[in-house]
Amino acid sequence: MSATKEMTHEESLRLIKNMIQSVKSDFEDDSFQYLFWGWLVFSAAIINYTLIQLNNEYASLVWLLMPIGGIVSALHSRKQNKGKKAKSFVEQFINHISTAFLISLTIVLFSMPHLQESCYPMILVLYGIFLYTCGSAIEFNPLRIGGALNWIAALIAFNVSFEIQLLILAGAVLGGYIIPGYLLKRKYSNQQSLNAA
Amino acid sequence: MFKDLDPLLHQQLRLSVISLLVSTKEAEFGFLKDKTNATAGNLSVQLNKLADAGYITIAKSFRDNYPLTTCKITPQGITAFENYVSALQDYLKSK
Repeated sequence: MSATKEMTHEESLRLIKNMIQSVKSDFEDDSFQYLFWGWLVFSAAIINYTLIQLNNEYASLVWLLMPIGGIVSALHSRKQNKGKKAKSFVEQFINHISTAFLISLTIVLFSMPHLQESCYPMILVLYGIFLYTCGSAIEFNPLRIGGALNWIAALIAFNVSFEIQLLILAGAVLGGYIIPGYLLKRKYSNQQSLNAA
Repeated sequence: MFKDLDPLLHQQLRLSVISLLVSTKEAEFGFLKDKTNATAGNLSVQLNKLADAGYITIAKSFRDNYPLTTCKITPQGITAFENYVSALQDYLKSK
């Protein structure tokens, strides 16, 4: 690119538009986190429900997978951030939202003895906030819809037994994390193909 | 009467850099070089001009023992960019 080339006004505007567009089309594939957590929580909820039906007294121990999931997720984020040459405002916003979500989730999980059967519905409310705001930040409707789905699931979950709450939780993460995660992955692949063309 | 275009921004490479930095929180030298297809020497000169005018800040650090240059647009740079775009729009509207 020349340092001295004179531009017309039209060329200037076109250049600005192209540069801004090139950053926008550079978005990272962050579907991993949605798919990873979606499948992990979905599997744990289904296993927990099945073990309760089989009268297994250690049914809830399946949730011990979550801290291990946290380590895997953090390592993946670290690896992904290391290769990034530019930080966008959207990424920064999502990082802040994720931090706020994790702190809120930790408070709810530590308050489980007090919340008792309201614990999972509270978690679904937090999922709703997280998914809706992230979906709005990246302008991705399946995540927004997933957020709304989790809020509806929370409303229902407040009024049913603990076992049924597990099935609702599995359905909510399927609609809120897993399906939007695959759609996000497909969007990224399509974007990559367009950029390469 | 049209507003004068900022001569510092009315240049292909500097305008590209400012447009990229407006869209990002911060960007590494390598990112700007890839996006603009500029040579390292030319880009370095133009970045210094923008930094001297107070439009961007340049931070030098190390990552994995390699030097790392990171650029960030300043509030003054954002205002200059907005004024530049506004002047362009005024001109194009009058055509």
